[in-house]
Amino acid sequence: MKKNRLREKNVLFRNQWFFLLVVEIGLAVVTGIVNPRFFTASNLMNILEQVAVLGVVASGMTLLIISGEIDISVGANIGLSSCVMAMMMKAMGSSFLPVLVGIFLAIGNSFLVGVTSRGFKAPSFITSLAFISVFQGIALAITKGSFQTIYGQFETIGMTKVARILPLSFIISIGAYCIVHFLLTQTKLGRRIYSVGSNPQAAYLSGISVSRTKLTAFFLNGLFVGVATMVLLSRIGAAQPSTGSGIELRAIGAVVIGGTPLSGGKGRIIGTLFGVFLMGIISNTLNMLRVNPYFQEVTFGLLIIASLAVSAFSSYGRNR
Amino acid sequence: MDIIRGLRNRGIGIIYISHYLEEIFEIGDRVTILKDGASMGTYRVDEVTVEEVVRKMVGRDASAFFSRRPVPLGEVWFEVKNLTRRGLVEEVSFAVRKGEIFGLGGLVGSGRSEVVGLIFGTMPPDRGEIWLGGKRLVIRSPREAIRQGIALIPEDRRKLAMLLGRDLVENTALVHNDVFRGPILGRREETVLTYEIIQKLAVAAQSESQLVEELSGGNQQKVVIGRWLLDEYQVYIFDEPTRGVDIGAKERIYELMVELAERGKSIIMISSSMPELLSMSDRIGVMRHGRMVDIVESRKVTEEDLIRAFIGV
Repeated sequence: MKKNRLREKNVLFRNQWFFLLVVEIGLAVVTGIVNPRFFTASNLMNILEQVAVLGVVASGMTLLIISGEIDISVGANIGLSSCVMAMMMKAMGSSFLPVLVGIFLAIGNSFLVGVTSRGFKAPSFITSLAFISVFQGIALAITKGSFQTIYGQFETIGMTKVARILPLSFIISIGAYCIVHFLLTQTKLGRRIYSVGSNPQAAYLSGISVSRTKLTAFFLNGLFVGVATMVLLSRIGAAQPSTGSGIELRAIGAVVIGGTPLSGGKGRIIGTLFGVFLMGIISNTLNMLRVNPYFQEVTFGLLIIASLAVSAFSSYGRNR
Repeated sequence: MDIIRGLRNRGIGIIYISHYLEEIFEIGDRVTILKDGASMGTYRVDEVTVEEVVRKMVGRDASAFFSRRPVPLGEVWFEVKNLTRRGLVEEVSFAVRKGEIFGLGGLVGSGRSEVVGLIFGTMPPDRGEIWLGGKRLVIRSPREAIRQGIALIPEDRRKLAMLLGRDLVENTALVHNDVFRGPILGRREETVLTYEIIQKLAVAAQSESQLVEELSGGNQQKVVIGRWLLDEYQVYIFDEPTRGVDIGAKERIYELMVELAERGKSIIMISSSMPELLSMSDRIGVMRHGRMVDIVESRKVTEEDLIRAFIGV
């Protein structure tokens, strides 16, 4: 169809991530003018490093939200998994097995949220809400509330800089984005995720197992949480039950800001990528401008509302 | 009924809407007959007979009927025996030949969609058998039904068929990709296939990457039907195929059904439209209260006969 190309150009401007990119470039320019230190290599790399862990979590969350589900326990999941990883590293001295166990634990936790949701026909928002307490409680119990330090033991992932400037943690997060991109655009699983998010009944009548698809999304979400935990632990060198707490809001926020609606069935990972970057840039900008750090929380909240407004207005023309 | 009479006696006006004429004649004072959105008259219940009311419910001029070419019928290929699901469907049996369009008629609630649900695997029957090409089928899910060669175009496309927010390619290639292809998508193949379907069914769309909700009702229905033309099935079930569809698309859909019949497929069509049922079906199975009360040749039956069979007078 010859008209294809005409459509493609219009589609670019309608995409939320394009707006995001423009906003981010604008912000960067403004900040750079006010404080030229913004544009130094070390600062830019700093931003990338800051959002690496968030990027991995947000990638898994993107899959889950497109499938029509959600997991607000990812922060508590990170808390529990990081404590288990750290305690095992302290006890064993090595890191391979503890990381493996930690990742499997994270997968299992997320899968549990999904299974209880499907099994009891309860919204995953509720089951994940319940599991926040479960994960936190178990973490507190096994650590007896104390810090688990492993300084120097597991630094490689967190500290390595490829070619001496690019943080390895950032490269891992890029890997996460790429895997999700591939899944969503080139695989049957990705199509199933979009289909069950868009219309589970239609998906069922077309031969798709809605439960299997959603549980697979939970599984993958857990896998990404596990990898994020590994990276986070490597950067901080210590773990406590509250490690990672609050990341769920920022991850969901990044996904929504990136143009993926919570109702499911739509969305692209590039949106999440720019959503995560925006958070990194804003945080860095506010620091550079010496704004009260508590106001960063306010800013994130306002950002999410602003992005909801943008998507509401862009579909205003279409759906009215 | 007593409650309604009680309300009436207290001076409250009642509008009672029903297909069941015996109820209307039991408690009604006056009756207005509606057909195709127009009133056919209002009469006092004691001044008109059931037959006269039925006659006013039917009767359309010839242009409402689609004239389809006949298709030679082959052997019996799809058979349903004693299908039962408590409270919904009772001992339903019928057979469909190759090349035959079997209409399923009846009032809303007569069990037609439930029979289809039992055949397509959305609910398990308490009793009964399904046979295809001489083989007994065990179907526990829509996916198994699809694998065995049964296609279903559901009734309410917005609720049950369309992936809103997804484009025409995803909507068309849905079943083909999921049931008949491997884990990695063939993006080029599916785009080509979608384009071919759009051409074949004359779907009015600007491009395959358009969102499905941007199309008109008739074109949406064509896309949903097109989904089932990418692979070879043996039985095609159409549940209200032309509901909310404009006249041009309607005719294209009828044409398609006849083409499928000519290729030897067995077609089951649920329809609440008399002209559609009578023009398109070879035989019509009449359902009432969950039972198949009669199977008639569409050529040998009038609209009035059909309505009376639906209502039970």
